[in-house]
Amino acid sequence: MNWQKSFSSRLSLFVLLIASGLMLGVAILLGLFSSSSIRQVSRNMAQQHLNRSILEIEQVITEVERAVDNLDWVVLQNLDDEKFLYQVTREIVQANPNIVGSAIAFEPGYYKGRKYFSPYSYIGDQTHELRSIQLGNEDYDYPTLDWYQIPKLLGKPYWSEPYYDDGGGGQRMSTYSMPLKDEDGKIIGIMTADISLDWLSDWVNSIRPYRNSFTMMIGRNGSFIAHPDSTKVLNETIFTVAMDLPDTTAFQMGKDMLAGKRGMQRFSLNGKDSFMVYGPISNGWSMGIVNLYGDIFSSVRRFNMFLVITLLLGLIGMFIGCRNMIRRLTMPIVEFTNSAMTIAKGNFQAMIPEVETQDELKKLRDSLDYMQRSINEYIGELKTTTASNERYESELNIAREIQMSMLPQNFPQREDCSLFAMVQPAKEVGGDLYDFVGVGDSLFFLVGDVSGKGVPAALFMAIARAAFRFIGALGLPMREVVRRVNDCLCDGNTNEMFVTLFAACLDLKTGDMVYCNAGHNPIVLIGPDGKSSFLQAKPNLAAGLFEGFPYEDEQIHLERGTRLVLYTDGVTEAERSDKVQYGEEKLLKWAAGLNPLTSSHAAVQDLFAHVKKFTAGADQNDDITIMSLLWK
Amino acid sequence: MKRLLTAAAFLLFAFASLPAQEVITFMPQWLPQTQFAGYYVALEKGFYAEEGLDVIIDHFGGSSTETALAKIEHRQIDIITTQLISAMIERDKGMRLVNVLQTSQVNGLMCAAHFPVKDPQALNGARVGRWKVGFGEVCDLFCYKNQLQVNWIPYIQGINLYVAGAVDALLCYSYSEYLQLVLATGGIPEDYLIRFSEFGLDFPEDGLYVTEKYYKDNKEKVDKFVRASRRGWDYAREHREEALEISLKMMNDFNVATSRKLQEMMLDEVLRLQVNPVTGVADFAPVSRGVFDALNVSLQEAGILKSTIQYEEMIR
Repeated sequence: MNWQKSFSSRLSLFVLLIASGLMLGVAILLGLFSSSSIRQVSRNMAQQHLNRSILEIEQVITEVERAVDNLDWVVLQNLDDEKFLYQVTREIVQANPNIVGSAIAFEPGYYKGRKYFSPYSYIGDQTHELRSIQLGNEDYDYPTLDWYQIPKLLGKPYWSEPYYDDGGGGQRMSTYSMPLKDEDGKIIGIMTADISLDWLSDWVNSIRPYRNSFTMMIGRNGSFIAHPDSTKVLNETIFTVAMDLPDTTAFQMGKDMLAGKRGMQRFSLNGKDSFMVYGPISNGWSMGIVNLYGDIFSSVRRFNMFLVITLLLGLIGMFIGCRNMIRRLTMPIVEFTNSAMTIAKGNFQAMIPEVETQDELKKLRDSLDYMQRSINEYIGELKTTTASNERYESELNIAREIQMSMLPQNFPQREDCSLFAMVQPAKEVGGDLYDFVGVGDSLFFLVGDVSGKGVPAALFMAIARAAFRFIGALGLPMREVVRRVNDCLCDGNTNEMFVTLFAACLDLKTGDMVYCNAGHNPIVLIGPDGKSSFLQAKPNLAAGLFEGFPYEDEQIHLERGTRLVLYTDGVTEAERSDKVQYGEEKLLKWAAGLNPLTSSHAAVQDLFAHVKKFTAGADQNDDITIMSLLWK
Repeated sequence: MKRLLTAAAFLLFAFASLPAQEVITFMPQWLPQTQFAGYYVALEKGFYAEEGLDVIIDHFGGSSTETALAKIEHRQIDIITTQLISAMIERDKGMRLVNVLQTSQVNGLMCAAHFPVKDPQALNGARVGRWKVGFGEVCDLFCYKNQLQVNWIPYIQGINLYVAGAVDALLCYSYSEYLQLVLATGGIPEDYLIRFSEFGLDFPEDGLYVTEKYYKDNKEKVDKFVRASRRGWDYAREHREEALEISLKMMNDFNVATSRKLQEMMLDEVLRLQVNPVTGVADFAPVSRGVFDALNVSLQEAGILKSTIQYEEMIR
């Protein structure tokens, strides 16, 4: 997908980015808030599990303790009845499902002088039958065992640390021991009840607030009474485990638990972020529940994953929906674009699609429609104008041809003279003119320049040329010819046009030349020796300005080989693009460099080329006329 | 078939080349633990077998009061480990034990109390737990020297007397009960401890003993046992992890519940106690006459010995 080319895609992506940013921000804030809350809730939940579990185990402990404590007085009142003592131990075991064994162990020598006397009833490991034995003997010297000796030394009931009882029940047990005291308060024996740690382990292992949580119980000596890893029970203490953990928090928790403290600590368990809630049990043991934050947050992570996937799908859906909607909304723009392209290609009647809305698209459509109509109108006008221009141009071309045909092209072919002239109008038609007429040995010739350019100048030139042709043929003196032409031109000259001109008549036999300058540029005289100069002439006035102006003519005798170069100001005022004019000085310099034997045709062409070279392609700003007359 | 015949021939040759295996029974003075790792290693690694011995290891077990000393007295066992003082006492009583190897070079007996005991008088009148089967004689010397009256509480099982607060203090060994106490309580303040070796009572402890008669009749066999045992200890020192595994296997065979951590720490401490403080190496140096004589005097003064034990007769 080319994003740069698709407006709808870019806009959709933009919307998508903003929506994603907002969602991400909300998700982060929500995550931070929920993370803290979840931790607190999980700790509370684990604490509740712990409290409930401790309550349950304490109920069992209390039941066991009551089972023994409540029969204290019965035993003391029936010390003489051995069978009854056995029966008491059997009753304790039978009446309490949690108790797997019970003993009434007497002090050495107390009971009828016997060193050992301890009626003991227990449920056998294999048979699960209730059995009764006398527990003490030389190999089982119970007075030195914890369950007997410690409560005796403490003078109060005692829950023994877990032990493997291979003298009696053959099970892992803990024993509740209660000192039996006579009337004098002297301890005469210890009455016990055993509970199975296997039962305890199973029950403790079922306490799992979270999937990988585990619960442990430790005794006052730190050894595990219950642990999910059964090999640790009785073999390991909380400190043997804690010592191998890099996090020392576990070690401190062990000390707190042994001190009967209640608490919660966060720690690293095998590199996993965890926490343990722990609290004391009434018999001096302690229980702790270890929870992995990974478990707690696993459901959150699953929810988050679901949320992220849902959001992603939603964003993709939003992107697609957005893009389609924007495409649909912007479809008229595409159609407008196509219409504009069709119009641009020349189909000005192309259909511009309608839109039903009254919004910006409607304005755009109306603008396009207006533009199309305007273009059509303009094109229509343009066609008319073009046709008109073509016609005008055609007429101008015809006029040019007519004008050019007015100027004589058949230059005299004589041995004693070489004449050539050219006109190069700045526009289709121009106001410059030249003419010559040979009458016998006299050669009448002129060069003129009508004021202005274009069609008016051309028409005025045509009048001037016709006037000269007509009046010149009358054989009048040169000054009279110019005077009459001036009067003719002044007549009805409402536009106040005029023409500068240089007219002369050369006697080809003698070289005498009569000339009259009517406000025209001085002509160049190139002597047989090649020297060039401007022919001095009275300026008079341009013809057509003042009717009856007394033009005067002058006379000069030319040497054979003299060349006259007549020209209009289109030559000397020819400009380069930097507005520098060709000028008279350059003209004289050109004339000085001209070979005296050069034909007039070549001389005219050479001067024209010289001027063009000077202007270097700049637009011609005035009509150019050049005439060369070489009298040989 | 050819390969089978070759294997059978090799086995026949191997059996034929083995020396005749002499049976010898051996019993350490306590339950299986890394305190006796060197012997387990010597058995497991075949050091005894290489000496031509078929060693059968027995153990003091559970609540039985039938100790190694009792067993050797009843000629139910050939060779035992016990402490030097215990052996001297037994010899004083008439059982002529002979020390054939002194493994311990430093005394490891300690007393852990529930209160500061840097002043020995703090123990006066206190209830102090001690093993029912013996071993506390160095503390007797300590009490005698410091004129202390102690209420001894004999026990068989471990440290629960102390943990439960049923006694004020507990005699313990630095490689055994003390480590159990550390692992049970998380540590005991140093000023709650008495290390008797720091009170001029640094008498070596564990060694290998046989009866004088047995030694006379089986000197070569005993020497072989001693040589292989020393190899076992040297190997254990160099390969502690392997020695630990071998010991744990032995304990498992005797169905003794334990903690690997405890046994690891015990092995380190036992090996430390085997380093001769004079030479700085574990050279199994015999007890010096000076120490032996000093012990004779102290034990007689404390009334523990009635007669002087002759160094030459007991230390081989």
